[in-house]
Amino acid sequence: MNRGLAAAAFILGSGLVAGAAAATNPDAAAPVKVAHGPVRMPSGVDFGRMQLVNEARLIRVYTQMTGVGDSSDDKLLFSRDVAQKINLTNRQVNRRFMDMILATRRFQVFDDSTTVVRDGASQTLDGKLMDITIDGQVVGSTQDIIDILPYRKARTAVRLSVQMKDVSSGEQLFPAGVSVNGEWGMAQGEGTLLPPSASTSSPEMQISLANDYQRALDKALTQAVSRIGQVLRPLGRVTFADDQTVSIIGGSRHGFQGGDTLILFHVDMAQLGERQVIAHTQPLAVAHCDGVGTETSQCDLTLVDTRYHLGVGDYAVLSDRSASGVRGE
Amino acid sequence: MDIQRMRDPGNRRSARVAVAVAAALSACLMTALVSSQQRATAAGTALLADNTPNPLQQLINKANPTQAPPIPPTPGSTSPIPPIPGLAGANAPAASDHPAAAPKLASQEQARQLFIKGTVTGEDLKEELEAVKGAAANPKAQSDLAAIVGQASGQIAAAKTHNFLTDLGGRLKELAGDLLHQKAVSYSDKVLTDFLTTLTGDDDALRKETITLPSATASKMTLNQQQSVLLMAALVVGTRISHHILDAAHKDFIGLEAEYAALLSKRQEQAALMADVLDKRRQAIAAKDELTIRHMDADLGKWLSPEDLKFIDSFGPDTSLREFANDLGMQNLAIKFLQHRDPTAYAEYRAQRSGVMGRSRAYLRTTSGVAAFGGFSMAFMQEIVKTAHDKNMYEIFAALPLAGEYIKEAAPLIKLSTDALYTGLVAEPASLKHHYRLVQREKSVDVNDADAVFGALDRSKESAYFADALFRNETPGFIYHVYLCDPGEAGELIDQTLKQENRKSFAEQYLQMPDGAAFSFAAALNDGVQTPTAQKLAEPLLSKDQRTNGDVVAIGEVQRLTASSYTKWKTSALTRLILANSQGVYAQMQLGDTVVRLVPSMATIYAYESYADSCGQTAKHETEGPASTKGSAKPKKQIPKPKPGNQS
Repeated sequence: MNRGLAAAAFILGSGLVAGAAAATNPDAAAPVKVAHGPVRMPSGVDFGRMQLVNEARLIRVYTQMTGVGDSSDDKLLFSRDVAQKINLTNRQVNRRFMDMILATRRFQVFDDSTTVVRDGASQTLDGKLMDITIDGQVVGSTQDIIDILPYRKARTAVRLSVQMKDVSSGEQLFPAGVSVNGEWGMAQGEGTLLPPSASTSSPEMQISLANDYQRALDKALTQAVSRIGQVLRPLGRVTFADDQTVSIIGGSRHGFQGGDTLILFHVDMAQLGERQVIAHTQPLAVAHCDGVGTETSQCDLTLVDTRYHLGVGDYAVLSDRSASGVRGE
Repeated sequence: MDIQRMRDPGNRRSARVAVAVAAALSACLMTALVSSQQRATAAGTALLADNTPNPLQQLINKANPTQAPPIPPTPGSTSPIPPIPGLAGANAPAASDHPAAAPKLASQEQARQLFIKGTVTGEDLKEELEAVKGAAANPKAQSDLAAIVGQASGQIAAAKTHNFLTDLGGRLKELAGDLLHQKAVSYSDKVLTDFLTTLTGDDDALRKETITLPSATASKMTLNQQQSVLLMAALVVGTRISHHILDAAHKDFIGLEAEYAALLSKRQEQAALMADVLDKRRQAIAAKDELTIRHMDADLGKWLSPEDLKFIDSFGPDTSLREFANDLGMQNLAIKFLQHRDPTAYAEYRAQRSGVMGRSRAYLRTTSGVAAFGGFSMAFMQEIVKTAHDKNMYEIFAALPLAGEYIKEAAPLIKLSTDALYTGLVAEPASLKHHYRLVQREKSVDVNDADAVFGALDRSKESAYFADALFRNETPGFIYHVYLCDPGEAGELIDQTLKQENRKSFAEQYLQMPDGAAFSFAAALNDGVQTPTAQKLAEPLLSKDQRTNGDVVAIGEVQRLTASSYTKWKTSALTRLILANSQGVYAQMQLGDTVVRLVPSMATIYAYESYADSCGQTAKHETEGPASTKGSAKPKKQIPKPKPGNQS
């Protein structure tokens, strides 16, 4: 196991206790006690993503960003020229957005530079459609000067609206859209500092103010990525299960990582008109995966709902705790 | 032979060589010796001569592999995990491969002389204390030393010749139980070593302290049993002297309170004097007396910056003198003003301030040193019991002469060390009150402690800004700012928010320590502990926000726990955090629309001045040239001074 995986295996307060054997043998597995009781079903399960499990690949996401620094209700204290000078453009910001999504290691991310054909509303790569398109738009931003005596300082707020669409179904995955705020200058140590006699129009201040905007935007993007991660979760499929362990198709290629906790669940499908939909999901068990393989993972059961039977063909989804926890880069 | 001459280091070296040579010569006879020793012990043979395979001899063999055949290591004394640079003591792998000098203990002749003397002084036992000091600095030496005592006391217990606990009273059994069931306490190796250096260097105190040894002949002790008794005697002497040092420090602290009150009074007086000058300027402004204003501004401008004047003006014309003088930032400006207005008075103030700060630091150094010694004592006794595998702790302590005395003397120190872990080392008499002023636009309200500040921030929905700013990517986070001048304090902030099991997991899983029970971030940052990738722990831990994505998940989890539990921080911790993050002398922190200011008190003055001192020392250290070979636990970066356009 590499160091990253070893570190990922360590989850504070996970309830897993290394026994005496683990203390003496570095390859010994930590004994895990299986508890019994009902399991809470997390969000993030949908038919489209379930179908991708067997393809053993990451979800393909196409992103585009608009409205950076040019929203009509902008109240920014730096000029557009300065924004250009520090590369504060839609393309650059989209690049950062892509990098942040990539850092979660759960998606393949593309933009106009990598998807070569614009086919209607859908992007394609090597003839294959994207799975998800994400459209981010800066819908409002403000910059004001506040008094933190003896200084004045700049406070910047950026509001980012994100829409996410499932390409195959054409459905919006955030039904009401997502609006996140990024702020910079709200705490000591943040925000451009203006001495009593300084002017915001000086070149030095202009650059500094544009940097403030960029940082506020980064904060908004971070929040947006977090929301995306809550909705688009890695899924796996059970190939083996006994009283203590479970094997799944689902590994790093699907977006799992060492230390993840998974919820195992059963799905019943129904035909609705011409398409299949999820009729019922039943959470069955919780499993902890010390480490994960490329395509498959072996995980220990930590909580089992004994009223139901866990079997081959059931699904696994990343738990709420792991989805909102620290993800290794 | 005279005891002093017996303690001549040259003689000790000769003794070591003799033992090493004897070990080499007798290597082929080792098996026979061991079986002979077992028979002798079983029969309770009364031999003063050393015919047992002495653990000391084994240590020397291990330390000089070319002079003697290798001896299999004690179980648990080696580790497959490579040593992590910078780790030692409570924050080190328990049995690293650090080369440890063998403890110097009394030779047979030296021990014989000491036991004949009967009542010995601390000075007679100085080399045993030096051995303890060596053990404090190196975990391997500590476990080896404990093994010597543990094995010897195990042999004595097997002989069941005497129960020393019975002699010393039944409560000792309870104390021994408390001692061994205490959770491991973290202490800084540097603090402990400094303290033991002071202790072993105080010949006068060592001469005054005496202890009576039991009769070696009557007790039929072997050499290693005698060495163990001498070691316990040295520890008893060390703990007694520690008590004297602590008592003296407490007495000094009582006087210190009065000195703080005088210093505070002087600061208020200076603020009032400055207020008087500024009031004249204000009157001139009201009267539009341009000439006077120009003269005064030119005059003030020599001493105070435009930012300073703006800060002063922010108090407004209706501010009462009391209110004006009762702000730490304003008092700091008044002292700055005094520096230029009256250099002689300023020099007097500096002398007074330096005296108070010097004595405060000495007090804290003593308290923390004694607490570290208490923590070490506990760890050492636990280690002794571990090494005597076939005996329980009561048998060990009941059998070993002076162990009971040691427990009795060490128990209060251990309590001090465990208390210190949770309450902080700064003893705060009731008269020391912390006060914060929460300013929101025109309104301000004074609150007493950190809890009140956190409560107010929570109500105004500004607590999220605080939690968010603890760790940052683009600019140093709040805790990193503390680390820049005071690494231990930064670690303490994290320790206060994490449970012991979380710290233990972090130490064992991420830092790869075999036993992380005693791990603390305070000691680790203070000692410059490194990560498995040979980075200083502070860098990944404090200089980057890894709460969402990070290189190391374990660090992200620690940051998350810290940010979710910061309300556990005490007033002294919040004060330090504000000072470390404030600009210049203004002593304030902005969070949303609220500014948290410090109201002067003895504690805030101490926090401010000691912070200024520690930053000054760091800066001085950093000016050393790159050719400097001194290792440093100090951070590399300095707090950036605010410049126009900089991030505030």
